[in-house]
Amino acid sequence: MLRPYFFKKLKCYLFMKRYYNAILLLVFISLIAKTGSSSDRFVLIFFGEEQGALAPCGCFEGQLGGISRRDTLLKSYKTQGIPAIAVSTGDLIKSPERQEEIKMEYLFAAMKEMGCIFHNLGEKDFEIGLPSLSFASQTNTIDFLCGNIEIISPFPLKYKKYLLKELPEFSIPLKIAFLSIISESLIKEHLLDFIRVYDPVQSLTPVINQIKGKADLIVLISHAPMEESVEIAETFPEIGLVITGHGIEDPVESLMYVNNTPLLSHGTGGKYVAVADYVVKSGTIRNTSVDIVPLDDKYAASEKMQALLKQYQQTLKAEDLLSNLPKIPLEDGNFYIGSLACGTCHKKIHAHWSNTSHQKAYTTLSDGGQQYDPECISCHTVGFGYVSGFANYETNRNLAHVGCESCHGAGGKHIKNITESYGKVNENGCLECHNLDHSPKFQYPKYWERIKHPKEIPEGMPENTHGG
Amino acid sequence: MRKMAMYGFVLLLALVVGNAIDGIADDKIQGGGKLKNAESIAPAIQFDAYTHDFGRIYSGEKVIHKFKFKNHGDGELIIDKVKSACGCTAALSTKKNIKKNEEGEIEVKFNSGKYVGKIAKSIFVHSNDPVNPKVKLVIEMNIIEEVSVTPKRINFGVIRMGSSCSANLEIKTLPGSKIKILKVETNFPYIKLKEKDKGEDALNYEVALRGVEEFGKFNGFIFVHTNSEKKPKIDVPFNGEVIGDITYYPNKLSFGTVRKNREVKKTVIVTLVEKSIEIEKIEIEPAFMTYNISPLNDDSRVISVHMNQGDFTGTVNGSLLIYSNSSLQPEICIPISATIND
Repeated sequence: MLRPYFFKKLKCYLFMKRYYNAILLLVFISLIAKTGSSSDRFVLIFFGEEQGALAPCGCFEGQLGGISRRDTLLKSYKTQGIPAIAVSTGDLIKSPERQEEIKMEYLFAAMKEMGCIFHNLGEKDFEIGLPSLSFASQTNTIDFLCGNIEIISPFPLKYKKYLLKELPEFSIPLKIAFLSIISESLIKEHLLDFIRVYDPVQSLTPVINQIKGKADLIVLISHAPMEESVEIAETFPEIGLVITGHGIEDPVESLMYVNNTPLLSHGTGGKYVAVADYVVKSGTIRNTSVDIVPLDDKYAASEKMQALLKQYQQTLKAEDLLSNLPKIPLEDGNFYIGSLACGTCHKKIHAHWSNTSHQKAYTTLSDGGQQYDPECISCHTVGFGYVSGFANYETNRNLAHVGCESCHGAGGKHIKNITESYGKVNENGCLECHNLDHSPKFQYPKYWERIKHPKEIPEGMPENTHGG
Repeated sequence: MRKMAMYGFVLLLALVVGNAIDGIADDKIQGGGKLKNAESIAPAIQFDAYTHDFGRIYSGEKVIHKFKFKNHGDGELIIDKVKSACGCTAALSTKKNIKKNEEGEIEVKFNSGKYVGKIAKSIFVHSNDPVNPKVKLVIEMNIIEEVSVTPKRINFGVIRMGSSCSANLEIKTLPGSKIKILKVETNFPYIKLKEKDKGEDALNYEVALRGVEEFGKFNGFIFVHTNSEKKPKIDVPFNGEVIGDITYYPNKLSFGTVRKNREVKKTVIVTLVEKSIEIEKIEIEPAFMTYNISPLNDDSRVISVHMNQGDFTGTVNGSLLIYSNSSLQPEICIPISATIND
């Protein structure tokens, strides 16, 4: 029994000795083949429709999105040696105010840092005003894209109709064509004096004919409602991927296939990114997956983006946006007086309020360095946005924090005439700040208990004048 | 020769092995998604209904619905998590572990606050059910407004100084609701509101803008007062930009905080809206700031502003002055600010 076993071992040894070099070669080639699988892979990452959301505001845990996490996600691919092509799909801002203009500047700075290859123009980008958009297009190194418009304003908007991106990383250099359209239905009337919008299919036809055969993959950024994008995908089977869906809040289920073309949205608010994964084999590109990835706390904060966000807050401070925003007058000549003034008569209530988290609302904000942000300040102070309301901490210290008047309304008329009925509150008032975007766990009965103060009718006052 | 053949065989084998590994990697990328065989003692989640239609609700109204489910399987059902789409909150209102034939509930709350029209929201229930590990529930509703305004914001866009423009504001009330529009007003002196036509449930206002005396962006509100308890006042924001013969962007140059001896640059783009306008002279201060101007196209110029502060530290408050033959804007002043430290 021993002999055959011995001979088997010997034979095996002799085989290994004889073909030692060949076995080494086999191991080496196998390793190359294995590691080669990552270098033959690339991803396209799409984000957009931020609509001014640079970062989660921080009101509660579990908020999604932000440029910081996006940068970390992009870097995670780069760290793995996987080429990641980042694309901005449009609608950086939500309205034409100065704060949004500032956000736009910072979003472009972030894109530059992330190596984003182009910014597709959305209708909200046009809303910021052509002088500002024109400036952004001329001074940013990032290309602007829109395939079916013509600018007829004197403001020189620099943009391309499409982009042919080369990927030199692969043994056979690949070319990806990025096409772009905007739906005419989205362009507001006041812009039509400056922008001419053409039919997307008519505009895309010559471009697709031109690039057919030159591009290994055609990607369309369709800034349009889903139905319109589906029609385009049906018309052009050459298109390999469509990123679309305008105003989709929850994009998780947006993925659909038109023939074999994946069509999906990354949703609004910069909360998700769309990731299309590809492998390159024998000079051809094959899509292996498309995903809608939530930007959650799995992605750590990026130092560079955090520094940029800090600079953004400094710019808000430098421009003193809090003081410069338009103020709405209060009804019937009423005005804000501040919690301290209420406390003159309502001592017990004021003392009770001083121990609630409402009394720390401004401090919470200033601790996070966001006390100059108009978007945050209205729910952390009294009467912001109204004449006589909070404008800045230096002049309105008495209106900092969520005070008596945040719930009960301006007390000016009441302090002038204390017999006037005042003070009724209801759940709707709470919901102005404790809404789903900022306080999704809000439950009126539970939260009410945290701030409910004792009844205190100052001497000589009839009870029915105070709603408590 | 034999050795060569052997090497050839080994090479072929290596490629096959390599491709196989690659294939495995591909499968990994695609995420597989293949269902595991259901175990013999497995839980099975089954809802009474997977969709709930709230019907017609008012904007701002909050609605609640409980989706009931039962574990029809033999194993214990464990609800891992309940995830809801934006705009609604959903939570398991009963215990997490549901035994065979036991029932549970998912409570879904929806605040219609910012929504209008027909909408649908999804809720996902993740459990250890091997066949349906992720169940989708849908709530549907048609959100109506007692009072609605169209558009929600008026953007007048870019208008030339001295010219006027107008927009239409439509205010609709819910038919048969007895809601009245009490007053429509604005505190912006250059806007005039004129009632155009009045139907039973709709009002149209002409919002005319004329005579704005300042260049630059403007904004404000139109207030619609109603007798609706849900919406006693609707604020309609408006904005626009008044331009003259020349436009420039940005309208201030803020360098922020910079270090001494570090040269920094900012750009201004000047557009000559009126063809006959020419830039006659440019001045810049303080003295350590310089500029150069170059054409961008027939109508626009790029002015690059450089700050060569050298050893200077402190606050900089300077200006870039552009002189032209425009009677409207003979002198344009763009403020410059910076803080220079060590």
